[in-house]
Amino acid sequence: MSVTAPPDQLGGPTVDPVVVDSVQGARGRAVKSFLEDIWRDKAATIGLLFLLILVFTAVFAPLIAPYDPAAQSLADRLMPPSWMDGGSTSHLLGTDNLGRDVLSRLIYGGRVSLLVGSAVVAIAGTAGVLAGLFAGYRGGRTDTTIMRIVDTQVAFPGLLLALVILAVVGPSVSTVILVLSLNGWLVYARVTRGAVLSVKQRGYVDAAEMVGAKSTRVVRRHIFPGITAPLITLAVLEFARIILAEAALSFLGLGIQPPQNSWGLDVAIGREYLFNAPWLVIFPGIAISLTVLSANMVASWLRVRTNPLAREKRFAQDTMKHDLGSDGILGSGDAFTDDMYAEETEGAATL
Amino acid sequence: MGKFILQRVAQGVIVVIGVVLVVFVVTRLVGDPVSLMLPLEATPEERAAFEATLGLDQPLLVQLGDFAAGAVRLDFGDSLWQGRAAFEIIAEALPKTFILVLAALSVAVVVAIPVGIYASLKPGSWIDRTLVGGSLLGLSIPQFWLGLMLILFFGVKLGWFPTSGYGSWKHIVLPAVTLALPAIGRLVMMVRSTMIDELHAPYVETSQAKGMPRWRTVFMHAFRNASIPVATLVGWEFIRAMAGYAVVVETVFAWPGIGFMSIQAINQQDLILLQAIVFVVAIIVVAINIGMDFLYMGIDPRIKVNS
Repeated sequence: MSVTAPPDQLGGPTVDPVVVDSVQGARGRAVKSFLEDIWRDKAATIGLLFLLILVFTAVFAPLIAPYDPAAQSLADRLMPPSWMDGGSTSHLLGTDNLGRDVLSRLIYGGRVSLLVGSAVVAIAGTAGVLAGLFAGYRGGRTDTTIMRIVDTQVAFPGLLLALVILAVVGPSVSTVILVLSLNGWLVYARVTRGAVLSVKQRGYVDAAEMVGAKSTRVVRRHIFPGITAPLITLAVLEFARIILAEAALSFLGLGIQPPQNSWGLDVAIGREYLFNAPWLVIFPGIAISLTVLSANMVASWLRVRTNPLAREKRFAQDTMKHDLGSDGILGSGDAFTDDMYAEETEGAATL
Repeated sequence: MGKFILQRVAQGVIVVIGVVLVVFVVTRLVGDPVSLMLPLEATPEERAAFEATLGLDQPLLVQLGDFAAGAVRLDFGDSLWQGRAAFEIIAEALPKTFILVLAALSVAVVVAIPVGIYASLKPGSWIDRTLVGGSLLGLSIPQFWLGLMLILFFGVKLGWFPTSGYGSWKHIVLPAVTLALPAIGRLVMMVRSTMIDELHAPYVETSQAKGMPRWRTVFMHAFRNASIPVATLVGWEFIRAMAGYAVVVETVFAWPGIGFMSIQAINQQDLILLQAIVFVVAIIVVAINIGMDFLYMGIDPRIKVNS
């Protein structure tokens, strides 16, 4: 640690420079190893960059978008993209049936996708993880009750019920978030419970309990950190799934309603003009596909990073053979067994 | 064994009751079906008369009882939209959805299993990476958009297939491919992943060591063991399609199946037809779930009922 610690810029009480340095050093190393690791997976790097750009354009949409997404100009209606005959550079991706700028609508539409995606991940994730922690840590009757509810709801025809609820309650951003959350917590509960059950058997958890730590502390300090890796992967996967679901609901007319705009809704509007103005359908669809693909690529990298078994699968050459196989070093009692990951996709509710 | 069957059936009944309860609570308590179904200018007398004919003036429990009593006789009342028995409409639409889903799943299985096995033979190679990337792309494309793109290209530009509707074998190609693509993506990943596990198992080395041809090891031994998780996923895809994806794909292609009917029922504010469809779909989903359990016990003797 030859680097001299920065002087205390905040002017607060002086802190031991060595401590500051080592904390920052550890954090710096973690960030560096994260960046190095994702750089090796080019697809995930591109995916992450795309998502970051998307967040940026969504946040600063009013500054970036060339037009107001709702501004109509009937003189300029159904103008093709700039590189096609009759297109103009004033509307790079053309205009829709009311003369609204397609590019501006794409930029604003990203807001809804990101909002719905992250809100549902936050709500359903919190509810599901809490339920899973309860079920897994308490065990016994709590476990049976919670898991029975999960098993019952998993067997529901999810999308169909979502459609009924939206049709009755009235579609809007908040009802879409609500309906998708009601549908989305199950998979978190299952994965969390499975992970808790395997972490619970570890020696350090026993030790903490024997020392007399309260159960909330055991869960927070000893169990939860051990199960975050699969949960983060799951959250990214779910984010991708939710964006697709929101787009599908909006396409069916039961999601985001005009005058708000969303990519799925824009495809539904453009569908009327599919044959003479296909760009109205093509561009929002590409936006959805790229966003979901990016999230999926990041998720598959995360899975490999946090799951040694998947890492082996990815890079396995025939020489490595079975010494890392499912019954090898990484016995099936491990928190990161493949079954748990399989359950993520399998148990994902039907939407 | 008998106890296990009873348990599963009882669980299935609970699921169906749960679905019906949700539909009833949402439509009767949260929403107001009469104002949804009648025009705004309806007089209070008209509203009351309408309520009475549908039994909506009864307490919720009575309505539930009436629905259950009708449902066991497959009598769900008359569709408000078409003016004929809701069950008749469902009975016409359901086979069309089954045909579509079965066609899509056949395509998915026929494509995904060889592709997944091929990818698993050399994990990490460029072919494997390409196939995995392609699968990820397949399950990232929104189905409704894929359908529209296929219509645009194969329906309009090339004119090979009709753009929508139901009729000749040509009508089913585009919707089936649309329904199949994300399933292909998921199946390829699954087949590849389980096959890599199996191909690295000791028994594969043994069979190779005693001189068994590679193809025989791959197909007769490894794939046989890998087929159980794969069968599970196929079952899940069936459920996914029946309980959701079919709605989207059928709407895009105006395929007159049960998913298209449910959207029509919503647009026509036909509560009777809608609740009948949800009930029937719930029963189908439960039945497939139970069927899958029995199938495993048939395929894999290691699965014990009592554990």
